[in-house]
Amino acid sequence: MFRFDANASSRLRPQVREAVSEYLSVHGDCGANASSIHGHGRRARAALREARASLLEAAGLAGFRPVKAVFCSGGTEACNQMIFGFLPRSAAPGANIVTTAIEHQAVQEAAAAAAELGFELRRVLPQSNGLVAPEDVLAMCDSATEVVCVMAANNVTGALLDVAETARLLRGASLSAAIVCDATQAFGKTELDCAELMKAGVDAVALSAHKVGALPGVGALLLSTSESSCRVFRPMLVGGPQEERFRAGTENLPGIVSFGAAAKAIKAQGAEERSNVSAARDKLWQILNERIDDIERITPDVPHSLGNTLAFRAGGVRGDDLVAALDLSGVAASTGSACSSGRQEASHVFRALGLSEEAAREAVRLSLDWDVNLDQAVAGAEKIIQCVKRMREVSLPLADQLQPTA
Amino acid sequence: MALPAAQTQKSAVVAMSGGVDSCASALMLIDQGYDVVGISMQVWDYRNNNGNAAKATCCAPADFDDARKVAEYYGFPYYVFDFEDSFEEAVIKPFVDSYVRGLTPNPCLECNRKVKFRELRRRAASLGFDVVATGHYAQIKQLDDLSLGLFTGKDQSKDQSYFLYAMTQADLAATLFPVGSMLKPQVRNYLEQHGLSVAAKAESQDICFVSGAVGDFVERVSGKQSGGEIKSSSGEVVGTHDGVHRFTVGQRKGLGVSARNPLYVLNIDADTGTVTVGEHEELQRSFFEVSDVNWVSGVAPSAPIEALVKLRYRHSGVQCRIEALSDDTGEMSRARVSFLEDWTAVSPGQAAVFYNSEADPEGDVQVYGGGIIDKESM
Repeated sequence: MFRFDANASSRLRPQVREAVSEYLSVHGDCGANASSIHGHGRRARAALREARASLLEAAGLAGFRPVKAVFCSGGTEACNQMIFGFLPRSAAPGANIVTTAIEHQAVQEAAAAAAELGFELRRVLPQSNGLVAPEDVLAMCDSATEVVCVMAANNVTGALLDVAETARLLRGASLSAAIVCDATQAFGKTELDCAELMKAGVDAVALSAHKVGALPGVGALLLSTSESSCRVFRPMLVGGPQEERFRAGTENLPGIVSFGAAAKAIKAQGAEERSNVSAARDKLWQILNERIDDIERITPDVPHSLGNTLAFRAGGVRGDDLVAALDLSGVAASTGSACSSGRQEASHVFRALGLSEEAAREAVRLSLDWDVNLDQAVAGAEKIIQCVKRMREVSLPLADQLQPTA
Repeated sequence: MALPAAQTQKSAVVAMSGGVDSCASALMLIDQGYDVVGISMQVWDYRNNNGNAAKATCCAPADFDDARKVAEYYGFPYYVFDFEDSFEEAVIKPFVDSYVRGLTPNPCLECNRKVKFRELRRRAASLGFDVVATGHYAQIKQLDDLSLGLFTGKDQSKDQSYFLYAMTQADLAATLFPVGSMLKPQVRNYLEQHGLSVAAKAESQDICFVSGAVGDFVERVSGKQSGGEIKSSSGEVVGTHDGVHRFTVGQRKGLGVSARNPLYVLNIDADTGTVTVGEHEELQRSFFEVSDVNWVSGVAPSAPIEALVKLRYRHSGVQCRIEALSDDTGEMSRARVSFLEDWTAVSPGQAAVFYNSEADPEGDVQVYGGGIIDKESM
């Protein structure tokens, strides 16, 4: 099986398996609540502290003082938290939220929910190259803008957005909106420097554990607590005093330990991984581009994209059919979006890029895991070529294929 | 009797609605050694059409869950495919348009003809599968001249051949009806033996994309329709109505007009918005014409034939004489159907399906073909 769907969920790292096993063998036979004062609780708290430190370090925040790493249930919660956490309780006249049109549903739907509360929702369209210009974000903002969301890396196309520059522009224009960033896909797949983001004026960054080889069900919200941050964060979840009251609820220790272990691995070997992964991605594209006619790359060129992501379309081949055909051939891929019935549908991202309905329906996303190698890219490319060729043979007009047999 | 050519191929896509018959079809093919891939066709997005997904009879997420459960349990791949565009174009639009023009269309015919046995087959082929299986109660048999014949399902009470008359030889060669040779109780038993709870599910018989009254659905898609007058056959105004799309020729109930004898819809004139009603005998006619005719053999009979003609699903049929006619382009795509002894109400827009007057030695009845009842010829 060729797993080319890491942006959906990435392969568990061996260090994560080890760390979680070890944690369970020490704590698994009894409840371990990091808030408890007894020995089990203290050991849980130590594990929590260690994971938090590993995460901050991998996110480029080691030694960066005014920051909180708040663990939560995943990227979606972190995105919801960072939007609702910075919104006032009620919308003043003109109050608005600015997001890019290519954000993940976790941001899009949270912003849409805020719009129902009376906040005007403004969407910044990407340029034709798939990137969002910082100036375009600035142009959408005004003094009544409450929250600005700009993702660091797009989950579907892999486009890398210049969040730091966007934040500098906004702050340079003396805008006091909260600037928040969904970095769930960028973390681990780029050299994510959250210290730079926060120095530039970003107030919060959302991360997810299962996108970097840890367990699902864990995420983190990195909150800038610098004095220049003029926004008040109000937690969505209230209750016990966990996470310094930024996020109530007993911490998911096994999940958090997995996240910490993945962060440690990223810090240790991330640079090497990234260079292997992008070499594999480039090889994959080189082969597909050479051997498939009428193929269009949607993922922006290096250095403006995640090294692991390759979104493309092959003319005349439906993306959802290709994903099914690839699955039957042993290649895991995606169209970038699925509805509740399980149907693969064209992602809103492709439409936001200006692709026609038909072209959007042809788009497919391949996203490589942290441990992919060149051989897999070469062999996977062959499978993809076979599928596309077969599908093009049968996509002739029906009348041409259905000659009566008797 | 030899097996149809299609059955020598050992892989098939099964169109799975999540219902009893399609689930059983998938399992039967697995038992017979087929490589199976299940596909559910999402044809209509209820969320976008003010419909109530909970009330819909198919394509609702719960049905897909049932299909998915069966696929997971038996370990075959299963996908939900988006057919919304082709379904809207091939089925919903003509359906609504026909009603607005005062006809009574049958959307299942168009769905089978244009979506299930064409678009699904094309998409199955793109996955590398040449054969599509469905849970229809109908049978495909090889005839003496080696062509393929379409026959009624073994279970006469479930027979669905009426909806399949538009199949061509190419369609038949690439299609399997695994439950067609079984009785419904046998199908339920079969599933129960396999430990599947779908056997207890209710039958789905309504139009799959309509969750309430058809008339309401038509208005939801095409907008509010203007009403008109109800007249007697002598031209006297006897009432008013909310739109011609709420009537079918031959309809008796729900006319909102009282009379000494039961009244029936005789004619629907969409241009003037007039619905004409009258007594039962006034529905009688000696012949009618059908268009869009398909002869399953691929060849129209050169001389008139006698056949049993069913004018709606579950109609027991009447003996008729059928004469193949050519259309403006010279294609033999029309036919004149003349009643021989008995007659029945003829509803324009419905299908007239031609059957052999006699069953074959196995008790199955062959479908010769059929067409859509023409309004202009009446």
